[in-house]
Amino acid sequence: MSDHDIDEILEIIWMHNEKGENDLCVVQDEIKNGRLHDALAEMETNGLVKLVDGKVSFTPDGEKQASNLLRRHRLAERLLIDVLDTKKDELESTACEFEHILSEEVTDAICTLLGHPKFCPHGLAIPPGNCCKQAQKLIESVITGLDNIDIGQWVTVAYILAHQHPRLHKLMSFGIAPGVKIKVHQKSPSYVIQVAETQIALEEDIVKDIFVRR
Amino acid sequence: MKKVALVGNPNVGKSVIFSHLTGIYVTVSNYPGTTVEIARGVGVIDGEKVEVIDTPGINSLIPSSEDEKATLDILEAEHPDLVVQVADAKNMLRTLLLTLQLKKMGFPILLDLNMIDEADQRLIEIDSQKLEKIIHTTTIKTTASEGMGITDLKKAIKKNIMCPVEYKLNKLNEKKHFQKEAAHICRDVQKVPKRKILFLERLGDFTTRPLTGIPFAFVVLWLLYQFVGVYAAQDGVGFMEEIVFGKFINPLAIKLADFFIPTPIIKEFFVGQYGVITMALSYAIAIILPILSAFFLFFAVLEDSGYLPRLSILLNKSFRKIGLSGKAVIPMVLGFGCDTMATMTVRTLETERERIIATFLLALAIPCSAQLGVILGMMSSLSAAAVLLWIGIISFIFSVAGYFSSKIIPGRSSDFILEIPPIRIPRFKNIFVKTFARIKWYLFEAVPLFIIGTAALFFLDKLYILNFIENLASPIVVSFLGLPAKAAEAFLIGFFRRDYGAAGLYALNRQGLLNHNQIVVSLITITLFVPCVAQFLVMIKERGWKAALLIVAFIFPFAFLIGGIVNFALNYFRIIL
Repeated sequence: MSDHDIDEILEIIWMHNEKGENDLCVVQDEIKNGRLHDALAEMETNGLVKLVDGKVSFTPDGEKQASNLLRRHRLAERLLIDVLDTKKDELESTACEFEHILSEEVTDAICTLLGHPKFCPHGLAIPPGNCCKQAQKLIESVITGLDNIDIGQWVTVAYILAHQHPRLHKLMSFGIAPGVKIKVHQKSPSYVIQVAETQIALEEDIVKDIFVRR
Repeated sequence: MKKVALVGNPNVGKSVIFSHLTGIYVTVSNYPGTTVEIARGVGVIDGEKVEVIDTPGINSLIPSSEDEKATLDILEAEHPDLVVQVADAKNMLRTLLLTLQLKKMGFPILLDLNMIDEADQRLIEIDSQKLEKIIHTTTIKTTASEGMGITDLKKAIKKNIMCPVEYKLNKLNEKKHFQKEAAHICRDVQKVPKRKILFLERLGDFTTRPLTGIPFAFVVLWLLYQFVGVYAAQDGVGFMEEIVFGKFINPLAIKLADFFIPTPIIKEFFVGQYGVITMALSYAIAIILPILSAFFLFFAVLEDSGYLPRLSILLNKSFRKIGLSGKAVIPMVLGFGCDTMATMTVRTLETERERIIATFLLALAIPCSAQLGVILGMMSSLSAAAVLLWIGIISFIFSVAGYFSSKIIPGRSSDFILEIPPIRIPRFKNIFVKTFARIKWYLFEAVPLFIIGTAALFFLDKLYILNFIENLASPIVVSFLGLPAKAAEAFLIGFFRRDYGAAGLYALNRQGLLNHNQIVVSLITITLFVPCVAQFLVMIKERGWKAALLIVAFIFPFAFLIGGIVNFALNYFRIIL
């Protein structure tokens, strides 16, 4: 069995765990679809999983390995969507390749670049890495939501999380785009931000999606 | 004839340039989205007759709202010989985004860097010669509000349309925003040094920070009340009604009629109880005109100062609760000027749901300036409690109606992203020209309706139908609303225009026929009463037959219902205002 296969199975178990499912049969079924019949037994021998009373659970080693795997996969998705503007249909296959090749250093670098995101584009949790824990200690992160910026401070737009294309388009047409310097002018009762000599009033949930570099 | 289209970001002065080129006045204000209709005119530019088209402002040629789409459509359909991009010189990045899009689409363009004075105040330097070379486009600097650079602009337009180029339009790639190119050119051609914050900028901030902005808004309202409700509605109307009409025009008209018109019935048509002169004209000119002029004047100052969009910042959160966003504040506030024009401005909202809610609320609960003026005039005799009761009930209806319509009407809300223009000192000339244009509009549009309404009353009276209607309406007007039977006349003419109905109540009040409770009940009813004919027509045009009819079918009984409830409550709790 290749490392690649082990990774796939670890992922399947992790995803089931997230849904609160640890029944051996259910997991086994999905693995069998991938034609890997004896894989679980082999992984138990290797000390990655435990099979007790028809339930499957991770050993500490297995959990660490799975967690890192999912972290790489979901961070890759974030990177592809937020920064590289990848199409939805190419997302999954590309992210799958990324998860096997990223080193821990590169993963942490990407995580930092993205401002230690907590969720992947599908809304699933991204397991935190060492860099996230350190960043929590450091109050300032390199990239942060515009809502965290103090009034009057000029910052540079890093990227805009676009849930909807029209919003991104509209912000762009006001000149709010990556690389542009902006400033929070006022926060309450509505946000007012300034781009060059234009003042724009907008709401908090839009401001939160504008990520900036201090 | 050669064709020139004016295009540019919102609020950069396209309409001012249009007036300079054609000599035609179109409304100019200091907020984005003043122009919602395309204006056309013919101007003589450097000896050459040219058709000029003024368009609603756009931020991008990939449109995101109805008014932006209108501009793109007109550009594609008209195929102008030259597109003059009017630009805000202090916002070069946004300017160039549009310039690059226009060029990419293939339009022959000329760039007019307008509002150079404001760029100068902000110490921004632009090397227009360098810019010309980079973008291969003639670039002119103007300060249109002062007429600076207009001659150069005209010459440049002439030069550019002398030998027109054949061109074909390309489609834009929706993903391409020219952001990088624009930023690059900006760095090359403009210098933006650090500078001090200008006084007007501080003033702008003062009006939007909650701590100072909210009290400021109340001060503005109070000033409006003093100027329109007290000064114009009492002194102005008193003078016009008692002296101009009471002592001169009406007696003179009656004397002339006695002398020239022998037939009593025709004489009455002009100077009788429901006479064209004694009722229609004296309502329109003696009661409404002074109030309206004062309101228009005050309003023009507000519009030109750039204050109105700042209210959106304060009100966005409240407007969210009624299914709208802060963007809808401008149409709503404009409704206090004229609901008909405001209903047109509703177009600038982005979703159909928001447009329907805004149209409905304008028709229901926003009294227009003429009506508001008359109402303010009537209220000046009331106690503060009665005035607050009126304001409270109308605001309550506005909020509740908005809240429920946001629950009922399907669709989505749009993002609140609104450009806030700089605070500017209003220019006397524009204020007066605008006020004058609006008064003229009122005289031409509303006064004929007053005359028709009065004539209708006259004939109904002569045919004894008026009496019949008053009897018929008496269960509602007298029993339910607790008003004198004659108030039915006010509601009847209110069908033509709500302000005319209000003027009818005003006249009843001046004859001492209404007590304070009755004033409040009648004012609440007439405030909510059906929209005027012009507004109804615009509602049909903008929102369609079905929506317009549904709205009016709801409002008509609803207005009486609320009036009746208030009357009942006042009686039940034995409240005497």
